[in-house]
Parts: sequence; C-alpha cells; structure tokens
Amino acid sequence: MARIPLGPKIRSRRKEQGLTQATLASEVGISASYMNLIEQDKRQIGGSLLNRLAEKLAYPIEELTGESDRHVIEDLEEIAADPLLRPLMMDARSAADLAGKNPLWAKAMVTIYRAYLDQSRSVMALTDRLNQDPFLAESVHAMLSHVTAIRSTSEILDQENELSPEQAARFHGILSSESQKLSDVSMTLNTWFDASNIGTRSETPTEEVEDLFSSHNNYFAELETAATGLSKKITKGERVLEGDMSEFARHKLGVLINHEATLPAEISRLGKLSAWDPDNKTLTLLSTAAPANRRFLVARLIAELSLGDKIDALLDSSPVLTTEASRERARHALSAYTASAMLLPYDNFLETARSVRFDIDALCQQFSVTYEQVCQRLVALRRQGNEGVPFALMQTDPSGSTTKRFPLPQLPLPRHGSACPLWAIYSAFQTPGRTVRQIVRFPDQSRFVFVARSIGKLSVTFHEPEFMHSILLAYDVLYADDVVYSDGLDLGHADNVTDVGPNCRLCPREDCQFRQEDPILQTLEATAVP
Amino acid sequence: MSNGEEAGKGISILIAEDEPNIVESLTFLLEREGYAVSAVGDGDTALRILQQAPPGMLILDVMLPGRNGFEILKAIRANGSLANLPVIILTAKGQEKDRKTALDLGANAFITKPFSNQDLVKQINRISANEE
Repeated sequence: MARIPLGPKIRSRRKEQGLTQATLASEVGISASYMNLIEQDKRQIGGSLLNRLAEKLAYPIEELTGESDRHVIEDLEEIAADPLLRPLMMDARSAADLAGKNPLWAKAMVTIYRAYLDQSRSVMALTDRLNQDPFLAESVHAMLSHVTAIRSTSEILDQENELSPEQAARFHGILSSESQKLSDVSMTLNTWFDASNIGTRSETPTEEVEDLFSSHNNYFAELETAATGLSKKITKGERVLEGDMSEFARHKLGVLINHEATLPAEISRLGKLSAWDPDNKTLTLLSTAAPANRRFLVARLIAELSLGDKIDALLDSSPVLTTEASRERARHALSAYTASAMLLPYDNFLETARSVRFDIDALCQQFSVTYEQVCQRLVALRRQGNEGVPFALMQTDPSGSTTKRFPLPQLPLPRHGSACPLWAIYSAFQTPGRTVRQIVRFPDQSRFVFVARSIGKLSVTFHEPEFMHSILLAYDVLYADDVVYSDGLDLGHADNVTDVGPNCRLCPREDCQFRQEDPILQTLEATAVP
Repeated sequence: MSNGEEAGKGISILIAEDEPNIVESLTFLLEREGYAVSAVGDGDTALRILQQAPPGMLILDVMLPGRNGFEILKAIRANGSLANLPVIILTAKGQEKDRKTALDLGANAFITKPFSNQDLVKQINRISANEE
C-alpha cells in the first residue's frame, strides 16, 4: 500500500498550534529549510525526528503516521479498482494522498461508495424479485382464482332461472365473500408496489451474456448447423478427435498446435491451460492438461477462426449486448458453445443421454469429455420438437460467488453472491467428486431435484493449490422419472424435501434458522391491509 | 347452456381443485348437465380414488397442494388402466408453456381460469360425447 504523506498533516497541525516553521524547526533541532521540505512531503522522516515532531505538536503518533487511516486507504483502493472507475486509472499513491490531505473527504467518498454498493445490490435484488417474485406470482394466482369463482358464480346467478332460494342465497354468499377476498389481494398488491422502490439495472458484461443465452433458450440453431458442417470437414468419422482437429488447423487454417510442459512466462497463470498467439498463429497447450480439456480448447479455437462470421452475425442481431466488452465475452461463450456442439453433436448426444437417463458420468465416458462439458451441453438441449429434460445449471466457487448461471423460467438462480445456504451446491464442497442430490421445495411450492458435485478445476501439480468449484444441475420433479438421479427418491414424502428459498434477501421464510440476512421486503402477510 | 337434454347421462366426473367456491360452481353446472360430480382437494387423493373407482372424466387443477396437477397427469398416463381417462386441465396459469406441458403430458383439454361457464360446459360435453 502507498505511503501516507506526513507533510500536509504536520503543516496543518503546526498552524493550528500557532507556530512558525522556523520555531518548530528549532524546537526539534533541524533547519527551517529542512522543515519546509518535510512539510512539502519532499523528505521522508521517521525514527526519533518523527517522535520529536509528534511530541511538540501533541499529535498521537499513530494518527500522524496514518496507521488509523489505513483502512480508509484500503477502501479507497477498492473504489479505484471498481470497473466503473477503472478508466480513470487512479493509482494507490493518490488514494494515500487523499487520505492524508483530506481525511474527511476520503471518508465521505468511502461512505458514499458503500451506500452506492448497498443500493445497487438492493436494486438488483428488487429487479430479480419482480421478475421471479413468489409473492407476486402467488397474488396473481390468488386474484385469478377469486375472479374465476366470481365470474362463474355471477354467470350462474345471471343465467339460471330455476335456482331455488337456498341455492340463490348460497351463490350470492359466494359472490360476496370472493369479492371481499379479491379486494384484499388487490389492496395488498397495491401496497406492495407502493413499498417497492424499483430502479433500473445497469448490467455487467457477464449479465448481458447470460441474457443473450436466456433469450435464445440456451440453444443456437445456426451454430448447431454450422458445427455439424465444420465437423464433417474435419473428419469422416463420428467423433471429432484432437489429432483430426490439429491436422485441419494446420492445413486449412494455417495454425500450429504445440504441446508444452509450461506456457510462456508472460502469460502463464494459475488455471491457464493454453496460450494463443495470433501473430504467429500458434496455439500452445499445456501438456499436463487433461485430454478432454485440450480437445475442447482446440475445438473452440477452430470454431472461432472458422465460424467467426456466423458468431459475429449472431452478436450483431442481439439487442441485449450493449458494450464491446459484452460482445467480446459473448463471442468467447458462443465459440465455446460451437465447440461443444462439435464434440457432442445434438441428436447423437441427446439420444445417448436419454438412453442412459441423463447419467452425467456415463456421458463423460461415452463422449470422452469432462463433467462440466456434459452439464453445459445438457442445458443447451432445447431444440423445439426434440428437447431434452429442461435443466438449470449453476456453478459456484468456494467463496460462494456464482460463476455460471443458466436458470429456468420457473427456477431463479442468484445473479449476485450466493443462493440459499441449504442448496446442495454448497454442501457438495464437503464431499469433493461425489454426487449430492436433494429434493427442494421453494416458497411457491414448486419442487426440484438438485444434483451437485464439486470438482477440481485443473489437473494440478504438487505445487499448485487445488481449486475446487461446485456444479449444480436442477430439474423439475415433473421429469424425475426421466433422470437417473431421482432413482429411489420418495418424491411424495414430505420428510425427504428440503424447504429452501432463492436466497435470504428474497426468501419469505421468516422462521428459517439458517437465515443470514433479513428479507429485503416484508412478506404479503406483513404488508397486508387490515 | 342446458337445452333440456341431459348431456351428462350420469357420467361420473371427479374434480381435483382446492378452491371450494370454484368446486361449488363447477358441481352445480355439471350436475345440471346430468353428470355425477365428486370433488377432492389434492392430487394424491385424486390418484387414490382414480385407482379404486375410476370416474368417466377428471377435471384437474394445476396448482394443487403437494404434487401438482402436471405430476398427477403424468402418473395417470403412466398407469395402464388410466391411460385413456379423459383429463381436462384447469389452470390459472395461462402461459403457452403450461398449455404445451399439459398437451405433451396427454391432457384432453386445457381450460384457463377465469373460464366462461358456457365454454367450460361445452368443452366437457364435447369430450364426453367423443368418449361415447
């Protein structure tokens, strides 16, 4: 962290004490000109001189040296690193300057930044809540039920001439009570909207790419067709192998593929398995990377180089990508999609998946791909007329950050931070490599089967720390009998079901003992008009 | 609505719906048509009754407590003896996705709440006539 400038502090304290530079200088035994250099922060001081100055100025040493300001500087550095402010290229030194010269302004900025972060999160949560809100869905359902009873009853009263007086009285009673209930729900809804402070959302590139996938229902017909065509050019066989792809890359694309024990030092970093040098058209693969990973990386590069136009056309036609950063990220994601379509051809993969009842390990074996590649492909099986089981996919790192999300319309996944702590995606970290399954029930009574597994991200050497992440596949219990992971689960038995929520801020289960945060809005019952 | 002839001809209809006031209007409307109507408030009870004494037709709400209407429909279609039972799905969720799910799972008709009595009765009479 940058050094806190002492000069301005000494100067302002000296003035407060009504001392001249020369007086203070002589009292601590230095020349006036040296004192001047110190106050302009052109000389660094320490040791006994610093102690003498602090004593003469009656300035607690930790305040003078800025130890107590250190957390402010750390906060300022965090602000400087925010993607929003990165273009300003602020350096750590300027954070220390601000904290030293204008400590109150620095604190004000940190306070405002904290408030801004908090409000951004609230806006996100509210936006998600409006989109996926269980109360809203529940209220609309209640309104429709009451309206149904009212409509049907009033039609009976209006059109039936042969009602007995008792029947007529009974139906009038229903009309009155259903109208009352309808008014209650409408009032509650009205209060809810009054209480909600819904703002617009500024999206990050990652979110825009997620929106791109979800607007296509995770399936890109053009890329599937293009991938099939490309695979046929690469091999006559059924399976696109790394060797065939390397040949194709060399002869058709002029790309050289090397296998090396290490990557060039300037780009090597933890988790990086390959390096692409566009000037020399060379792809260097880490020879210790798993074959399935290497195969995927080569396929992705070939897809990017051969089908760049098709991918760009898709990007151009998408209204959800608003920045170049989003487009870049989307280009990468669609190249990966195409690679996946090459290695796991739609019809063949879906047919095999059905035959093994979506057993991920069986599919890994069958197609020589990784667990993640299979999961990723499963969510793309959404071709109209030949769909797989609708799966949601989520990936998290051990800190709980969501690193990948493919939600289902009826299953919201957290956009920021973590989901409900009861989800199996978190408990899977306790048993690496093993499948954890769970039947969950959300507050709107919808039920899903969760299948989670934590896996090591890399093939690691002894010196590399192992990096785990956890992957969750989720499907509606409606599809339980199509999927191997529901075998033997008693879906009808309430004891086997875990009551969960989306995350604490959005969850209405007030009595949940695992709650970490208060709900962001009150529940319907709590806001209901008496 | 009722034209003097009894469209129902004593055919039994089971209603699985948890809103008692909707059950009451449905019962009234269908009994007037000559159907023998009974009702249950959740899907699992419906399934049990269907296995013991299958009715001529089932009106099945989607948003039921416990297993929802779609799950019940799937179980019905997987059960050999009930595979041909006429099932009418009743739902307050009018989305295309639900309609598709219902038809994919083998529903004979899909009625969206709030329904008009006349349309509902017509649909049911049409299905019962087809079954004869």
